[in-house]
Amino acid sequence: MSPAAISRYRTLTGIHDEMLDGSGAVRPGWAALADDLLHTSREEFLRRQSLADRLLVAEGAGHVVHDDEQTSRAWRLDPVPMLVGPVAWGALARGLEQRAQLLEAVVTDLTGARTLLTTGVVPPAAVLSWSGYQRATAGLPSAARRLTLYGPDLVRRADGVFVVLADHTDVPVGAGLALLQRSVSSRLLPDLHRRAGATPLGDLSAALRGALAAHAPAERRSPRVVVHTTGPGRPEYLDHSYLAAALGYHVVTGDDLTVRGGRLWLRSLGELEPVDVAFRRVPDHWIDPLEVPPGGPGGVPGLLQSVREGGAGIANIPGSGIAGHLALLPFLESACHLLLGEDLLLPSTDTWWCGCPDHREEVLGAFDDLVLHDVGHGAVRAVGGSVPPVFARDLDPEERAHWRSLIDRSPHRVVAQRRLDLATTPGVVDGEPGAQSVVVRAVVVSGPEGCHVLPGGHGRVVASGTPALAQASGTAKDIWVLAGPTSAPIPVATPDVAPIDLRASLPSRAGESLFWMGRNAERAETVVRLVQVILRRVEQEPELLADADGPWLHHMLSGLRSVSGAIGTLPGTGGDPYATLQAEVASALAGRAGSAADSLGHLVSSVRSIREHVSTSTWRIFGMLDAEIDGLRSAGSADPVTLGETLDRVLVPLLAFSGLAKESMVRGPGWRLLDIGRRLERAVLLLGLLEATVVPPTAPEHRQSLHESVLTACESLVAYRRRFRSDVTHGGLAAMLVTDATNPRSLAFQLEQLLEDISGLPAGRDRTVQRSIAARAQDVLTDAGRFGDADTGTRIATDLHDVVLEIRPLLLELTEEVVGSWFAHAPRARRGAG
Amino acid sequence: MIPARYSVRHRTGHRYLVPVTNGHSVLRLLPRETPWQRVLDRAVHVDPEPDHVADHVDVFGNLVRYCAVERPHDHLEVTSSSLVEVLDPGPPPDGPPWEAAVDATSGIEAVELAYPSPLVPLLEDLTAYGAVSFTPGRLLGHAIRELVDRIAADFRFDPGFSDVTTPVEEVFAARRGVCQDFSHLLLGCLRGLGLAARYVSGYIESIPAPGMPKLQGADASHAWVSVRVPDWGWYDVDPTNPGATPVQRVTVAWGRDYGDVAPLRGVVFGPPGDQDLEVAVDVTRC
Repeated sequence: MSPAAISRYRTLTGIHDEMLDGSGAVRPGWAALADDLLHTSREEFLRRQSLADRLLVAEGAGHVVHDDEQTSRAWRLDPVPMLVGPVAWGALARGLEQRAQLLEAVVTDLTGARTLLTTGVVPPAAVLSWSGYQRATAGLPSAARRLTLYGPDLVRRADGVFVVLADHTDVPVGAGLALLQRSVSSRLLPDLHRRAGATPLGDLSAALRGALAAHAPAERRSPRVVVHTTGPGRPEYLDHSYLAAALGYHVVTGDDLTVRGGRLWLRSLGELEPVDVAFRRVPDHWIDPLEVPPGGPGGVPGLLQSVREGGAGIANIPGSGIAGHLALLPFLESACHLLLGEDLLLPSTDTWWCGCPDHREEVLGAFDDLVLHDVGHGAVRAVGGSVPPVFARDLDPEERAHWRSLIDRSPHRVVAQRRLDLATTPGVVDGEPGAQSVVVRAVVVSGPEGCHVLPGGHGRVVASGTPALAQASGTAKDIWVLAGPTSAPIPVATPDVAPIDLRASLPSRAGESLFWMGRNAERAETVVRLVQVILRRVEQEPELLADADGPWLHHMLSGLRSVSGAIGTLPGTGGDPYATLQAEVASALAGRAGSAADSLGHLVSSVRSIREHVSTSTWRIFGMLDAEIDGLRSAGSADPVTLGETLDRVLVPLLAFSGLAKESMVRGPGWRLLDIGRRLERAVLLLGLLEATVVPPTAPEHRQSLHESVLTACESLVAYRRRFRSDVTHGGLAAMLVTDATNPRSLAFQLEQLLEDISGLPAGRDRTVQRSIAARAQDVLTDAGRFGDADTGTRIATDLHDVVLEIRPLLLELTEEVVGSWFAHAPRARRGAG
Repeated sequence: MIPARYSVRHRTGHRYLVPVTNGHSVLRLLPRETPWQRVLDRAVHVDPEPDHVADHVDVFGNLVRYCAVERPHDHLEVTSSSLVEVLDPGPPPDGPPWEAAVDATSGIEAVELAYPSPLVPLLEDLTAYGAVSFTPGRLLGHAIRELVDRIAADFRFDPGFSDVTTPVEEVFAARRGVCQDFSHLLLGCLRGLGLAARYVSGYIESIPAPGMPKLQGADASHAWVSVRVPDWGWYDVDPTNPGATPVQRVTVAWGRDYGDVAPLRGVVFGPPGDQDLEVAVDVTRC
């Protein structure tokens, strides 16, 4: 590395650096990245950072971190990965594998025989005084490894040694985030990714599927596995859903599950389907409000009982969190001797539990050099961590007194760790390369065939001045493990089980989200398109704006109000027509419930909750839409050109979404419900538009422009001209938009598709009522007869009005039936006496 | 003294004004065997007939029954009936100086019960209140009995004041509550000093002997405290009825606090609606 490069990247003497060795030479494997750091301009770094930000947003990941709500914030990915060489990683992986085995044995022991406590290898109080120790989970059976997924936090010390800061054994997050980061970093630095030879992460899913399948009760050859999460509203959901999508399993929350007959069931479109294995992402103190009251997000009453009876396999086993209790760290080495008969390969950082008098003495003696953790009663136990630890030397006198008195009066609550100087690795802050320290959440999957250590992990940049575990920085870092010259890919045992076909199964909650996605996408598209049609027509024929109460303007704006959720018709103002137009457009785009922005907001948030049902490209589309919502909100004050561009930027991804839904989604119940939502919405909006524009009497000389605009908004003008080769007539328009079953925009077409979608839902669901309603609506159209080609004026308008009045209630009834019978949610839980 | 034999009948009736679609219950209503208590017969009857029933023993050794009614129902009646024989443990212990008992708090069984628990947090004021009786070198049994008498004298039995969710801080501040509250208070005092003590749920003889007053809390399930006395065993004391004799108590279950031993805990699913609760307990010497 040249002096210039060293001047850009400074390291501290005596501190291990990942890229440069003690003499300032570039370590093996880092050459390409070092070269890149040297030659990359500030502008290019800034561009990469903003690309990384955009890619994260496109993954729906822009505003989430892996901790509890209090610390949730936007997070970013540092554009420079941390590289780990094959030799260092090999040693680390062996240590992680042994540690996973040890902690498995610790979980088994502490929820069973408790030899660790009776022998005094672990002081009984270290476990028994901890508020996180779940007594209700004692003695639960497990068909496979209790600790299927383990996620330690590792750092490299300034002396170059890797140590474990904390073991996460309950519901460790990180696996999904590691996959997500890799998908971003490999797109960010495609060339470097290839040249550096980063080991791919693809084996994780297969390893995890095999490990989970092993939890199925013995007689179930094709286990149904679900990812059981705390729900889309929670920050950890990103990790859960990203991993679930990679696994190909349903994401379910507490409301999707129920326990009957000692077994676990999934509510799937109004029916119950058996679940064999729940991949538990709900912390053990939330999992079962019946046995661990009051429970929390994701809880399922009776779940522990179903595990106890072998009616469901749960991984990790409830209660596994005990092995990650920080107070165990000082005793793990002896535990390893007792339980495995081996020396511990991967050391923990120096840790003291104040419940031991001699530890307490040491802590009080070395106070200023320590990081303090309150693991005690009443402390919030966040998902994947504890309350943020503090540096003792930074405490003010009052805080210092608090900790001293805590150590004095409740010593069992205090765990102390040595404050570490950490190794450094290059990163980029504000476009400048600099040295950072990173804490790595590793991922270890244990299955019947052994352990799989993910060659990578979810790194977090340590914020300066805070303990590594405080998770204050919110900057993630990808970890690239370099392939060694001789390293062969580690074979992953694929499970010897027939995968179950999940195409016919759909959790009711996901079904409902898809249904509303269909409706919201259609509404947003209709509103945006209608606004476009109105604005273009006005540009072409400015005279339409001559009179605020002119029939074209009045009817079109009434139609716009109708499709964008306004209550009541357009009041005749007699005011400035341009101002009226602008105000109406602004409210239709963003001014109320039912507006385009409102519908898009719902659309984007429902897609987040069903990530595993949509393709990666769909995600990107939603990233684009999400970015435009703000543009729509300021649409009212935008000039016509800007507004037109914004509308295009919204419309194009919406069209892409409907195209993807058609071309890239399996025609399972999910697609059917999405389509039912779209068809119902399109039919209802069409009726509203016709009612506002074509039904009211209009003088013949105004009809032409009105009819043309309506047909354009319905994408049917060109088709009309090809069919009728004439000016637009009342009858022709009605035929085109109402009864012509070959026009995908017509009412008849929507009804036909609805019938087909309803019939296409998996057999066994009761669809009689829904089918009969759709058929009744079709009968109305048949009775209305064909709207003739000739313009018979008011008679057609009256007929059209009758159609609207008869069909609209049927569509509303159908909507209620769909929602009521297929999405019937878990009835609300009430607490009995107790 | 000959053993006392009791017939116990504990009926809990729920009526749901809006029927529920299904419900899960966890019952700790079957009396356990102890060194001083023999269980001659025990049974729980649930109406409507549960669709699923399973038993297990919890980490404290209590008998737990899980029942699920998986069809719509508008009531749930749980009746526990048992026949038990209670032996007299002999005269109350004096024990060692209380500090020696604190030092002897080791081993899983004792350590399990020496730390704060969800319903019995460590409260400085409460520890100080209890510490008054624990003068240096005082024998453990004497200190406990004085503390129990003080609680009985300082606190008023008031079934209207608290329910199962009332925190012990409030009970301590208001100086009133029921057996459960007084037990939590006593546990807080003892654990604050480092002693091991458990919460016991059970029953107390409900028909007073001729000429004796009816005991408080006799018409419902009862709760008291058991303190570990080194080289003696677990010493039952009742801050609600300090005068009651050991043979007047039938033990059902024990744990760290009420949360570990709630006799009946349930979650039902259904549309929102009110529910009525009726509890009746009969403990008859026979």
